[in-house]
Amino acid sequence: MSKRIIFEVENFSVTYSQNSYKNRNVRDVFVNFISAPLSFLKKERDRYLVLDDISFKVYEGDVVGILGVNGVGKTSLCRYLAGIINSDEIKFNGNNICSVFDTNISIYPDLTGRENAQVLIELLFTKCTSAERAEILKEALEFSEIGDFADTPVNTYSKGMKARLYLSVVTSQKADLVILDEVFGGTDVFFTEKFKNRIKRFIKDSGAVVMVSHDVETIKEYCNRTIVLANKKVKFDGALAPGIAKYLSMETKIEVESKNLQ
Amino acid sequence: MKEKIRLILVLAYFHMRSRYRKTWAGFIWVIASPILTFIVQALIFKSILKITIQDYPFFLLTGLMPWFFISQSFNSITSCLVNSRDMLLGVKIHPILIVGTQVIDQFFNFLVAFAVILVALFLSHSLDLSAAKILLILPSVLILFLFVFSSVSLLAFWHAFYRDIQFIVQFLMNLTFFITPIFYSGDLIAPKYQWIISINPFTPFVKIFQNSLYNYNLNEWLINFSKALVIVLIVFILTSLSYLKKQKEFYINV
Repeated sequence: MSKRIIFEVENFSVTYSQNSYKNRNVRDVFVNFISAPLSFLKKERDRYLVLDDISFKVYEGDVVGILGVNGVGKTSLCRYLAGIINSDEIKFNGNNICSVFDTNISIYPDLTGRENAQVLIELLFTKCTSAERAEILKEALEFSEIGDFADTPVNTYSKGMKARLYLSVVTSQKADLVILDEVFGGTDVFFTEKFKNRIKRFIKDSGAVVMVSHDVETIKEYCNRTIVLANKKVKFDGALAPGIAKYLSMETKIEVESKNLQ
Repeated sequence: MKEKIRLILVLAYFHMRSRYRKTWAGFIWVIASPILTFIVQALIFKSILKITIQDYPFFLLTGLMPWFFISQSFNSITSCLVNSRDMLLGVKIHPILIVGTQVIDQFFNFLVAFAVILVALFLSHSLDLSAAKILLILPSVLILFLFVFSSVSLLAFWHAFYRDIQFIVQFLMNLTFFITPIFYSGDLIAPKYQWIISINPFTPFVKIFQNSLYNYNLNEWLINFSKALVIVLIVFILTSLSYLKKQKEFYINV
């Protein structure tokens, strides 16, 4: 019996236009045009390639750890997977996606934690009824343990408190696809333990999970599959142990290269 | 669609709650600025510069309030997508929703300030507000809203690519105020300079208010309304094309 495909990435690339780095504002455009009109008018075709033509499938029950050095395109890829940026090359086969990128998010800093949680619930769970939303809010506030701080403005919160509130809301409903980009850290040890249990239950209830972390231990703890990204390509896709080994050997290689440069 | 509209209204509600600090006093603070601008300009142009336009405060009101809505929105909303970077990159939310909530906020301010001054003038001047005038003012308000929404969406989108657009917009809006017939009427301008007013894209949006409320003139209103409609369509097409073609680049630059 074949497992349900949660999403499919086919010949997916991410490119940056170099033009937008040269011209960050209208003044740059003006200055570049006046100082060198000919080369300005010549259409820039240089594009910086981040991910080059990658393809993979994720099945139900997969907990995929994405590994790779900084700037390799892990977070960009996850933003596309989460549907924050649309792409025709990614086919998602399910109803809802839960994604966590920055845990330090506050939508309206002047409003209270409770109100921010309400806004977040409106944004994330558009299909819920108002009774369900109220239930989610109550449960999330309870889980976050921020207590009376729920009714004080978010701009008085510490990073950890913001993370507590945000993570509690985001992980309150099960999803077909869960994307977790560096979610651990920032919160204190007590909440992290509690949150880890919640994530484990969440993962069990969910269709598939994609996780990004630089902490190999975290990947080991949660994932059953790894994808290693390097040099714009998928360098490895498969079981946990060989993936981690591949990633670690890669990192040392970079260290050696930089030592040679010195 | 229904979900989207619900979401935009909920977000607008929270946005306004945040801006007005949850109090009526906060709201009065926000609408004080168009009302004060109106009072000062009415005094200066009427008493000091001796502009001879009949019912000058009423004339000024019909031009100044839509202009205030346009310029306030352009100046304050152009940077909203860049300012909401964390939200755009962290949660799945269409940029148009963020722009929309802020336009609704400005629109609400405009309606209230407009109504407040209108009622004040009505009580003190015994102006006639016929049904025909009110019938023209409703589509005028609607097209003005669509114009501001689509142009601000376009500006906020491109501001992510070119970060000085906000300042250029502010600078140009200050200049444009003087070449738009707001505190003077178009026929005060010498014929050889009339073209400046007629190529100014803001003119029809001010004129439709003058043609409906101040000097009721259905023919002129229809001409200006058609111009306004064409401008809105052009801006709408430009905005849609930008969002469709440059979506990926937008998220990289924002």
